[in-house]
Amino acid sequence: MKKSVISFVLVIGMVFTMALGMTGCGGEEVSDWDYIVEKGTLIVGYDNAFAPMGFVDLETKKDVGFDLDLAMAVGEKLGIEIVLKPITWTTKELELKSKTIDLIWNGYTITPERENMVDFTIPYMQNQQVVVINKKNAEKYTTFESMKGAKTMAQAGSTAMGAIASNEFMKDNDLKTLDQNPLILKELQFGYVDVAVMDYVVVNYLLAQTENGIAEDLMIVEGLELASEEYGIGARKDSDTTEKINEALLELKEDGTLAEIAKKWGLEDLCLV
Amino acid sequence: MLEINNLTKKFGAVEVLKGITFSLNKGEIVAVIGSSGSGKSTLLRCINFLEKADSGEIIVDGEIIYKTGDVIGNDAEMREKRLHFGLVFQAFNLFPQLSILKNITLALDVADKARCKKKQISKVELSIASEKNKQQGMKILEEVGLTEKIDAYPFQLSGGQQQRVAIARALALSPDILCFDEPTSALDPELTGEVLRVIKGLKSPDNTMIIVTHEMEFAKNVADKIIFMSEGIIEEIGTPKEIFENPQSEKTKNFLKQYFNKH
Amino acid sequence: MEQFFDVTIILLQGFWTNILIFALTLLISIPLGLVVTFGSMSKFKPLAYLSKILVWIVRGTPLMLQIFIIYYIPGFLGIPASSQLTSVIIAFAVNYAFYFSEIYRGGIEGVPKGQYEAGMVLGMTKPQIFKNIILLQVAKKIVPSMSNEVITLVKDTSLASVIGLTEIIKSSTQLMSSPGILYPLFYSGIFFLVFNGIVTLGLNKIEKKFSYYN
Repeated sequence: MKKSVISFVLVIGMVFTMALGMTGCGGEEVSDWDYIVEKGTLIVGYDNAFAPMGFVDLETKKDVGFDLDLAMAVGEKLGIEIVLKPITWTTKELELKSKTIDLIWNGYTITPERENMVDFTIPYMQNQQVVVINKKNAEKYTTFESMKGAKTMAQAGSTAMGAIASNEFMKDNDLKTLDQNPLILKELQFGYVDVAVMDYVVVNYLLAQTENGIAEDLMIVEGLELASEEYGIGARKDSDTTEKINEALLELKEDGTLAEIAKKWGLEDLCLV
Repeated sequence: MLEINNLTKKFGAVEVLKGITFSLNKGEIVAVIGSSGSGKSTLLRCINFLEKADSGEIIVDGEIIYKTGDVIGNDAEMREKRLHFGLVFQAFNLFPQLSILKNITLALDVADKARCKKKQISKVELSIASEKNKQQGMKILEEVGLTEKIDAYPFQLSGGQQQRVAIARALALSPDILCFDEPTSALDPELTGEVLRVIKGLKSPDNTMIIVTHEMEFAKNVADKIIFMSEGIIEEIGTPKEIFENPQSEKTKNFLKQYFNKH
Repeated sequence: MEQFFDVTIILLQGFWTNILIFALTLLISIPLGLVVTFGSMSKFKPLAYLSKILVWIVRGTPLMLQIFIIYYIPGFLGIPASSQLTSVIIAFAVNYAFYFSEIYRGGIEGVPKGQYEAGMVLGMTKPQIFKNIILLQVAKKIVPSMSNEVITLVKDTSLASVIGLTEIIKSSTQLMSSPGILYPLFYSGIFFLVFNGIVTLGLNKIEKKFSYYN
């Protein structure tokens, strides 16, 4: 009986520490890079449902993608072990802040809001927000003007939402969001919504796949660019890790590794470094 | 054999026992009668330590097992004290998940196992003891006439049979004094006979019993001594002849009159 | 066809995580729940109140939120982060332990007082009475409610995806991303159905085991 009381108290203590812990902080003044070197691993957080940057390969059943290859190459250059950790995209900054990961690295668009929360490396890839529609509406939606009042969709928490909000014709549209880009495309295909705004990199990849049955029904509206944007790698605020990554990226450019990786994933046109 | 001196018990502000004093000799049977709420059951519960008396004394064979101010001791002491007594409940309180035989031997087996754990007996002695308990259980079941039910479960038995098992269970621990708390009150009238017969059959120079009952005929025939309780005191005590044929107290007279008018 | 095979393997990999969460949660929460029950039924009032407050907090907030809290809070405290799986299992085990504790309490309180008294007059100690008389009766009483919770747990394991753990639902969203197919999401339902079918058969067997007496 006594033992069970003790273990009970331990459990309560544990739960309470967790419940009350909201305001605590680490306190020690070690630089971010030193912290990473000391623990010996650089944890890269990525969304494993974000092709072609990070996704599961049908053949090997392992996660693959451009960003994962690039991260491994950077790790090799810096001489540190890379740990690839799949995370939920919606809470990525929370992961970074609570040190469950050291970098956000997965088609992470550089925006002023995000710059308040994280430190970005130099941009390494170009991306655009493009408009996708159902082919049967090809005649109807040709300009932004024609999309005024259309039922619009974008990925929750993505930069596409900002792009829509700053577009003079689309900003007042009925906007629906979802976490999964492929589901958004499915809604377009089913006719639940009229237009979707999303990353060119993602749409381009999905429309190039033949097995999913969406490519034949959907199209990118040519010549309409909502926003041109850049992917960067996010580190904790005021971190010295960004410098290290930047150096490694430049070295990878010099020795041709970067171009090689980009070519493997069909992204050579979009590389910025 | 048993001496109860000035036992009192309060539940909150209600005085349920207001100083109960009586004694019993070995082999005697005392029947406690009285209307509901007179404190009969509480008296039994205090004697069996299911309730702690507020004051008074309980003495068994000259050994004081309770006196005013005693606190309930540790488990081992409590067990020693409790085992002077056995108690048969109104609602039987058999263990539903155990077979009839196991109902009877459980307490013995558990005690033996505890001794083995404390290294007081060896594993071999434990298995011998458990076999002995089984034999004893079967012997007692034979006494109450339920040999063929040893492997049955309580729910498969009639109320009368269940109460006979409960009696056997209490007997298995060979208590100095066996108490019955209205043993037939929960039974259909046609089933009371078999239980009363079993209790009557236990009458011997070795068995000392306290029976709280509403069965006046039974009390008259079996008991050596009748206690009539009313409002927490012993109103009258005497032989069955004295109480039933020549009651002194008005309360006793009224109680008996009402009882025999109804039956 | 070949793709279907690959998809099945990937979903199975994901579902292995669900099974792991399920098994470890039960393994921890079933005994832990009993500890909480003793706490909430304790005669030591502060402990009883504390247990009741914790029961209120844990049962009164979404499990999803508890997973977030247990996973992220250590980081803010400067404690090295535990793995996603560990966090999920702690959250699940604590959550289910508190649910179980209430079921246990109901079961224990449902055993008639006479059973304890019968044990006492037979000279048994309280722990002996609990172990030899009460426990099995409680077990019989709580099997139906426990079965409900266990089946709910199978489905709840998919909540692990909220902190990025690749369980089966997350695996199917991966397949949405590449090659961009949706059917794995619906297909994943089959895995839950089959597993719950097996679990239900097991639970029925347990229930039957207790049906030898009334």
